[in-house]
Amino acid sequence: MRYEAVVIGGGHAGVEAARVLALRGLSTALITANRSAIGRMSCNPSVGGVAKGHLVREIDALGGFMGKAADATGIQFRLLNASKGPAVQGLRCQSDRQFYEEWVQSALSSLDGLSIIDDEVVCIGTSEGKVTGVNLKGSGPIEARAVVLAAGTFLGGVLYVGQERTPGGRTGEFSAGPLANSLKMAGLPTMRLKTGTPCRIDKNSIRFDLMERQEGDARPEPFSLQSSPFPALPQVVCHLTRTTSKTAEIIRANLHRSPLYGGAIKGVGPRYCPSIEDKVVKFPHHETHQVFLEPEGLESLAVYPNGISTSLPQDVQDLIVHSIPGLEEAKILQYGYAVEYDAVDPRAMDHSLECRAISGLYLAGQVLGTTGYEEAAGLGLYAGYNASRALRGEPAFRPGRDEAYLAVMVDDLVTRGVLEPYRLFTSRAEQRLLLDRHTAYHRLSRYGQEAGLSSASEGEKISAREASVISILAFLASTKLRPFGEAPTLAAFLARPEVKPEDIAELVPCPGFSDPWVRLYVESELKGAGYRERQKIEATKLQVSQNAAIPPGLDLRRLPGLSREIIGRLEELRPETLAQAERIPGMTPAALTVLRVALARKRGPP
Amino acid sequence: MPDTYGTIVAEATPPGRGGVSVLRLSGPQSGTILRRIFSPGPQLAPWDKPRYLSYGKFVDFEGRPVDRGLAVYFAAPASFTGEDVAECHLHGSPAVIHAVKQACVALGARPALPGEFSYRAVLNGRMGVMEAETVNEMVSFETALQAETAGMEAASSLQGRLEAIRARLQELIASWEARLEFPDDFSKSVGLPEAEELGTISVAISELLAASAASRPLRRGWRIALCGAPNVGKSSLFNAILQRERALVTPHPGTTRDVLEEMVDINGLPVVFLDTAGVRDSADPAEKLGVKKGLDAARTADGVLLLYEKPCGWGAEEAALASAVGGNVVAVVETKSDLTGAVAQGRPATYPWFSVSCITGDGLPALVEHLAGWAMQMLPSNAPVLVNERQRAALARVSEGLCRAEEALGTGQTEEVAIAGLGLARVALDDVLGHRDPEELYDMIFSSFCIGK
Repeated sequence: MRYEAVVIGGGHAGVEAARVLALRGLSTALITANRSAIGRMSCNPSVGGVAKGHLVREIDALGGFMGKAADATGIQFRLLNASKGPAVQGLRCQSDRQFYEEWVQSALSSLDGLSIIDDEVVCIGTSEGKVTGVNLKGSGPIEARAVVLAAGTFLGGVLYVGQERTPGGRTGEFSAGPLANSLKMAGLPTMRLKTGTPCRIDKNSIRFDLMERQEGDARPEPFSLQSSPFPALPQVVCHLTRTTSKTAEIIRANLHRSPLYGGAIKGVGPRYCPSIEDKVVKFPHHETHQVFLEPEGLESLAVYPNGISTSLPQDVQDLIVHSIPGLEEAKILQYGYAVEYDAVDPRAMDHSLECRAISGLYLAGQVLGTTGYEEAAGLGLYAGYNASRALRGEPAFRPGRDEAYLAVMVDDLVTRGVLEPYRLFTSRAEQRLLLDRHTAYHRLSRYGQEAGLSSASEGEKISAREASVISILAFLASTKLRPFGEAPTLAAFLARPEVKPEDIAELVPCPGFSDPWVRLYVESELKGAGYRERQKIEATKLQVSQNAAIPPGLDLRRLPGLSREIIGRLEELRPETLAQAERIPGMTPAALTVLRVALARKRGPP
Repeated sequence: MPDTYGTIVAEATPPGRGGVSVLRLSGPQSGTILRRIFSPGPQLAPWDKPRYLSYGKFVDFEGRPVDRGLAVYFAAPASFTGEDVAECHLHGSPAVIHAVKQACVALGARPALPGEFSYRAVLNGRMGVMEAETVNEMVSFETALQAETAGMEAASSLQGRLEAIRARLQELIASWEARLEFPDDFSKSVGLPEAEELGTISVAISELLAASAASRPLRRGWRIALCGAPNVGKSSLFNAILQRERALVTPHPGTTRDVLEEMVDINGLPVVFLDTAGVRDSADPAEKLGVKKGLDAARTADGVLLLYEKPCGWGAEEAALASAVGGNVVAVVETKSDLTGAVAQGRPATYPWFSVSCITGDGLPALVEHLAGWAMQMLPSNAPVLVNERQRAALARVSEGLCRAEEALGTGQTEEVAIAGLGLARVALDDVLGHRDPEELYDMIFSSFCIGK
């Protein structure tokens, strides 16, 4: 068999990668061991959040489909940090898990040029530093010039529940042992990481009446500009309860049975998703911890207790759940577990997510040391798009850190590497105020258009909106709040933190102002405009001072005063600019001075 | 900027003083050069046993013995500069040091520029920028109080103060970021209790800046201009205070045209004296320019010594000059007190007054003592804080970033906008302190707050 590109894995990274490759007209095979699990939400039934919500919108602007999937299958939408500025407001939704994967599967099945193959990849073929294809357990070799590896937690995956230890990448599924070995044989540096998931509880065994209700937003905002009608599904309520001192007692009494604390798990877990045993041990002075009860779907029996991820044995999980108010009688449908897996050191990739040592091999998602559906989808889109560009002989797609969170994430991964599964935060961006969620389309959709990923009608919508924003901004700047006497302009009035676009709607005759997207965009342009302007200036300054290119031929060994360790790191990662070099962990100010001096000397006196 | 790859050589001890002088070599050729100029006794040679002193014979370029002494070799990177370093402990004779140094130069070393050893130590990560700045300043400081204030202790206390400010700043940022990044982990009622903390940090930085401004003369010296009519003896007094013939002195009025500057150590305080052109109306354009320059110097100086000569006495012109220089007159000096027969016509009551003869030296000690007292009074009341230009610029950026944050909160913007300002402040502090670790923020967040659903 022969395809132009092969994508390994049908998770959130794999589906974005496969879709973009197929849309770009390349014959693509998506290999998955379980066709029915394509697009599955393996952990919480939710998309978005602070930073993650921004990422979903960037994916949408670039022509990816996660935002549309989330809009179509969301059963509760909430804007986090609604009282803060648009740079840190995070859109988040609860999804119907079943509908979500069905939506993704149906979207993929309608794509020409995409074949889905049920099989297990046992090795990636290479020859002279180039990918040649993959070898399947059932149907043998497939030739391909590009391979996107998005294997999630399946490489050498091991599941832990108490002392029980079973191979697998997800509950009830297999573990990709041979493929993991083949990557190690190919010399890719790997590490062990860990993540976990809580149990699932039967909805009918929960006393919701004893818990605090958590409603969604009355007028929710969709992830995608294209989503209509929205919301597509009936909206539901979540509930909030808390662990008790009894919960903590139970956990402390059973810590020796935890694979984490018993020492069985060596992999590093993300600090932002600690297990409940971690929280109890590390924050002993906290008497209780929040537990959000999230419905897994409109018709699903399962409820996801967000906040009590654990790998303690099943009998202890029962005790823990029953110690929580409202869950005294709760019935567990599926027990929580931890999964330990191989991830490849992302520093082995370049900025297009292509493996430095094996050309044509791209990696994305958890296998690259990240955590989260949104991070995975963003990287899948990025890797798939770059693979398609390479196959078509086009230069790599590499937006700047001041242009997209996606770029911040990729740059962090390939220059800094990871010590724990990587999650995006808004604070990881130097110029956070420039990357707010309303401007994602205006920052990125031209790339999506260029790639042919978003339709012409989408492009027209965006340009029309941009035009109305410009004319409305001009109107607001030239019109006073009151026609007579001393009065601020409407622009100055709307710039005040407490004023909302609705408050001045009657005073703005422009037709575009009825569009909620236009309102949001106008508002975010005006609020904190001065501060954003300053960040723009700083971004430019940074570019001037730090984008000094490090010539690929620079002989680092001839530079005085670089330690062997630092030379080693620089040679391995080959930073292209001073700014990239600066972000490499372990770089000393002195080593940077040496580099700066060397570059200045190369350029000669100004 | 000097090259950073050659081998450099220089005395590591003050020239000409003490029983022992140390000549230091740093760079890749240090070892080979040492082999040529030093022959060890029966014990292990220094290059075979780094970090141990060995006794032997020093020779000059032509192999002639010049001294017996100790040599020690440090292999890179375990040395002061991080490079291969050789040190020759010689007898403190200028001739001996010169001969050995010349030999090193003939063998390929280059005389080091001031501060170059520290510069290399910084390049090689052996020393922080701040430490190196201190080392260099200690070498260049001329008076006891300057050295004391800028000395290691002061640098580490300045560093300590900045580190403390940075830690508070970072904590504030972490606490805000935690709430912004993980809103569900915090209860809704969290307002802005930390806004006060921002004010406290801001005050700490302002105090530091104010103290550094007040301490500025410690670095460059207090500046005292000598002013008066032509030929009253300004240059003579200048030379007398300097105790050498620095300025040209002639019987002709209008000899001094340019402003001359010299620093003098007065009781451990650095005082810069400025000799200026005598003030009079002149048709000569060069002299006119000189007068103007002199008056400008007097106006911008920290103090003015106003001179008049005994025979002419204090008159309306002197009083006019006193107000022309802005009133910062430290003392009025009657010169040529040795002249007899002339009539002394009154003296000003409003200024301290001294009568001085540069020929006999009468009255000079009293004047100098008065100036020392004046300089002491000008010392900042708090502990002096010496910062160099780079550090001052960084502190100004810290202050600007904090102002932006306060302004943002003051105009109703939320924390993420304020953090943009705090981030600038932190980067500026990191530039001074040499920190750089983006992960530090997350370490702080996840160790201080229980995050994660």
